[in-house]
Amino acid sequence: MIHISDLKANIGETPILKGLSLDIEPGTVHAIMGPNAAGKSTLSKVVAGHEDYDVKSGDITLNGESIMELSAEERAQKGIFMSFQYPVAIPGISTAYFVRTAVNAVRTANGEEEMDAVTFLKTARERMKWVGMDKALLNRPLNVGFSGGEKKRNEIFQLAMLEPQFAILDETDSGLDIDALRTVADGVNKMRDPKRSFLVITHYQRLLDYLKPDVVHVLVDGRIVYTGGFELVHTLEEHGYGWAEEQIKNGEPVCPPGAEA
Amino acid sequence: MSDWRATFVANQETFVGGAHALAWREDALAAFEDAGMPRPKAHAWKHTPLKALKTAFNAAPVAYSGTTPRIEGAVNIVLVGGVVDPSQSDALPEGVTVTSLQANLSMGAPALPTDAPATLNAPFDTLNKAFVNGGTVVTVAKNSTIEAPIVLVHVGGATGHAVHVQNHIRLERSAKATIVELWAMDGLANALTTTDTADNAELHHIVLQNNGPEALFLADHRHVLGRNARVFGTSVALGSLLARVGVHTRLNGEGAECDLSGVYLGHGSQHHDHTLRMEHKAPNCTSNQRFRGILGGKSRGVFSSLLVVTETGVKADGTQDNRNVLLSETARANSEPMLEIYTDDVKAAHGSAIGKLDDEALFYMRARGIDASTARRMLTGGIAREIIADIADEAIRTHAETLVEAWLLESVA
Amino acid sequence: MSQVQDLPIDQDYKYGFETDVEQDIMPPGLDEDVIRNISAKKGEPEWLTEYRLAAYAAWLEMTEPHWAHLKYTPIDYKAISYFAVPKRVVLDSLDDLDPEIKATFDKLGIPLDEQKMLAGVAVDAVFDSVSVATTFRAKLLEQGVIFMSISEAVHEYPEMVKKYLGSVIPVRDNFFAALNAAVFTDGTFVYIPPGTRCPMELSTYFRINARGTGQFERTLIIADKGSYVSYLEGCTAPMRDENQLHAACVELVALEDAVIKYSTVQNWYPGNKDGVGGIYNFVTKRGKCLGNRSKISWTQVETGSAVTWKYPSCLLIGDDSVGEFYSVAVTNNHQQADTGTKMIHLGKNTKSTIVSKGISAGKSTQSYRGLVQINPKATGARNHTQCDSLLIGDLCGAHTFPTVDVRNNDSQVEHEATTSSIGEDQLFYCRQRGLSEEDAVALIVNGFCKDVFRELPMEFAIEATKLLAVTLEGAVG
Repeated sequence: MIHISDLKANIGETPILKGLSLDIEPGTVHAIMGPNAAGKSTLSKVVAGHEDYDVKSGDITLNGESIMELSAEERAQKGIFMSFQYPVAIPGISTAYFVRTAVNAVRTANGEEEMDAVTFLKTARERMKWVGMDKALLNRPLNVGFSGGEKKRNEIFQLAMLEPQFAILDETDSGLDIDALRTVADGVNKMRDPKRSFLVITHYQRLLDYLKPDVVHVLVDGRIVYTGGFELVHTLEEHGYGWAEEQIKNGEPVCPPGAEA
Repeated sequence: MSDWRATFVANQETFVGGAHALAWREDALAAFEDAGMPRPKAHAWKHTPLKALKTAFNAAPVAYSGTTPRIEGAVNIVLVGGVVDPSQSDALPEGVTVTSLQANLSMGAPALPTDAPATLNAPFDTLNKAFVNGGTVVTVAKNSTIEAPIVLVHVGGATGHAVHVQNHIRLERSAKATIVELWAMDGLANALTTTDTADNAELHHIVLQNNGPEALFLADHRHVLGRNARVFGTSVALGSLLARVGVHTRLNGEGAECDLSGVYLGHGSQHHDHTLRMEHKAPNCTSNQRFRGILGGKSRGVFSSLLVVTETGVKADGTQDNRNVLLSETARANSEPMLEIYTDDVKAAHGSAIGKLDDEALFYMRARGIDASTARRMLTGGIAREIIADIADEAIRTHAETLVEAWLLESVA
Repeated sequence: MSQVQDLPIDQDYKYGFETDVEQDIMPPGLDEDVIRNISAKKGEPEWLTEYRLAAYAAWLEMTEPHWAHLKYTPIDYKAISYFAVPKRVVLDSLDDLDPEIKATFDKLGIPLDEQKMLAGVAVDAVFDSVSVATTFRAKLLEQGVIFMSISEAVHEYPEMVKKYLGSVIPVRDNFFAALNAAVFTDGTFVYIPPGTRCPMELSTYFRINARGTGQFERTLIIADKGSYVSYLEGCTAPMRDENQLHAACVELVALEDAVIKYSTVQNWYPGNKDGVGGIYNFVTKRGKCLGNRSKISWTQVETGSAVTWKYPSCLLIGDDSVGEFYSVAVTNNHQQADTGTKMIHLGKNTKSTIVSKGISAGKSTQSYRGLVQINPKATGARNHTQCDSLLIGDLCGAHTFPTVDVRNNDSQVEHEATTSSIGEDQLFYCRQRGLSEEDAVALIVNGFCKDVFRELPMEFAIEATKLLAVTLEGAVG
């Protein structure tokens, strides 16, 4: 579904991604873990089409078609969703109005009929329940005065409304208490589908315990340096990333503690 | 020949710096004469009548025999009529030097810090320069943290007489100090204070203005901040018949931060004016302003503050907040929080409110058995304490509280 | 061949065409003779000629104000023609109106045939110096509502005009008001009788057409006891590379329990992308809440003009009277606007509300300038001011200059203001959810202006939203 090959991207003159490759099949959940400043958030923004990042080389394809020349909104319309680490606030525009505008922008772009107000409201109420979001928030300006938890629930609610093919969750777990984390994870799990895939970016084990990713990648210094299964999450939680950085420095093959080389 | 020139000629004998200081003094006086007294309604003085300054004030020294206030737990440097009196002053801690400005005047006009912003009290800055007869140069050495606050205690002066004084404060790189100006003068006090806070230094600048009831006070404050420098300024204004504090701040280095706060308490026919200009010149600077007015009798309070973000002041974050309580039917408040913004990527907000004491709160307190005047004093005192709480040093904060308590007992019935 | 022609200037200003119509234009310049001449052409009574001459004498002693945050090439008052009227103006019947003028208003979306008009809106159409048509006059008069050009009112209701003209904006009020009082040529007169709710929206549409002229109109609206009127003005001008002066005066008087709602959609030609041409809009608008419990509400959407200098104000004289000011001002390219309001509280328990939203883009500059004054006798007065600026791009300026002056201790005044930008983060977020950049900007701007748009009559709110989008075209990216 999503295929990233040898992606190199800079911010200004500074290289951040240094040849990153990744394959994500339909219906799978991938996780990316890595130390601070490894390039995790850069990856999500480059996939979503943020213009602050200067892509030097490499390609990203969705269902075999390159998306590199597409604008952020065209990528969104094709079904790429990114849950923001820091969702923005828009005064004066209610959450309901914003989400409906987005849903219909995506539908129109795909030649589908717009969702009418009644259907929208019914669907929205139902999906807000999935993420434990107070329905009063529908009528409040988007993210204005929302708590950290409410903002993150709102992201997953929008994910549920937009029904993308591919969703990146960028540190969706940061700033959430354990209960909120569980409801957010439940919301994501409800959205799992053989045709939909996820890329979960996180520092922590907690969210992954609920999402049970199929594949786990270790991102260090702009490259995927090791890929394993769910068990890797526990190794990383216990040992951190120092071993990987050390092995790279020494020119050794990357191999987690306790794993076979 | 203007009154001021006649006075200048008459006072010449007493000027410090002798004959070769006369040239720059003359230039300053000529500049004053060129500018002339501000016309009524001149923009910078729109809310502050200058009738009391129409005639010239004799600037010759006058004898002083009063009791000098001191702040316990602080280093007091006493200036009588602008002149440092070593016999009344405390020893300085290591890392600070305070020299009398007198010594410098014979070598030339007092130097302002590089990049110091312009005066907001024009044309009285030129008058100050022409007549300047005292003040200090305070320097805090780099990397020194001075625990004890340094208090410049200004006493002396007399009705009909003027003292023109300058205090130049410099904190070198990564220094930290609290410098206080305590004012207890009579007559006209025309004071220039410059502060130059170098990279990563932190200055707490507190002005406790408790001049005599007939005094006239013109304070010209100019702050310049280097990279990551921090200035916390608090003005507590209680005394004087007419007091104008013009504070011009330039955030000149990236990441500089300046918080200015103040409380002005007016009774009788007092007039308190705080005119501010905060200039965000470097990126990523933060500024906050919080001023409170408590105005009774026929007093008037003016807060006029302009926040400027220049083209280079990107990622500025600035706030202005002014609240006034009018205690009598005849008190008056003017509030002008202004923004001038020349770049995007800024966050600025301001608010102002003018009203009376909260009736509900008063009733609540009375229903608990507190008499009405105590309740009023408590509420107004609470407003003042909101600002005084910003003073980090305990000795200074306590002194400010004592001054305010005394004012409340006298003024709030 | 149609003589309503589009001018070949590359601009998105769709009202920029010029009408080729035979006009009677006075030579440029201003002196007592010109004023006597204007007065004579209009067959005015002696008192009005004298009023004009007194205003002219006052104006000569005054100087153009320069305290506003505006920079513009000086206005040459000698180069302006103060009177330009189409030759074929017959007010008795629309059928006799020059078809070119009718076509002009058709093209502007203001059909003057009553049957074609928006239901419930009566229009006074002003073309350069003269009112060319006033619709639904007869129908309105059935209810006692007087709606006509001020030139006609001078003849038909001289006592009323004499009583109220200059009663809100004195001749010497300011430089531009004095000039207007000396040379005003036409405008609208409205009187709503006691207890009457005006059955339709009244509106005036101002069109500048002739070259080298200025427009100096005067509007006077009197709402008698317990009456209600909603009035709307719109304005456009051809695209030219000269700057033309528009110096209008609007006076409103609300008697006991009367309500006047005055809305403006100002879309004068703003000049081209490089700041060449455009209207200089120096306007004095003021309302007097004379009676107890009266209310005046100003709503303005300012998108046009090269330079705007405008402060619709309220004098709250009657006890319990209410003043409101809702404003959206958008500037792009090289436009400059210095606008705001004054709320002068004189009566007891008077209330005022100010909501101002300024949007600056391109190289434009915008200032909010406001005065809230609570006088000693205005006990129990209340004001709330909300004043927000939105910046798009890093070459524009947004300034806020409020003045609050409170002189009694039984009043409550609150002022809040914010300045922010349409951030890259906000735009990217919207685009990630599938919105185009333009839609995202429109969405954010509309959210920002919502508090003001909801004060406009429905159809004008839609028009204003569109106008905003046009003005901001190309502002991002």
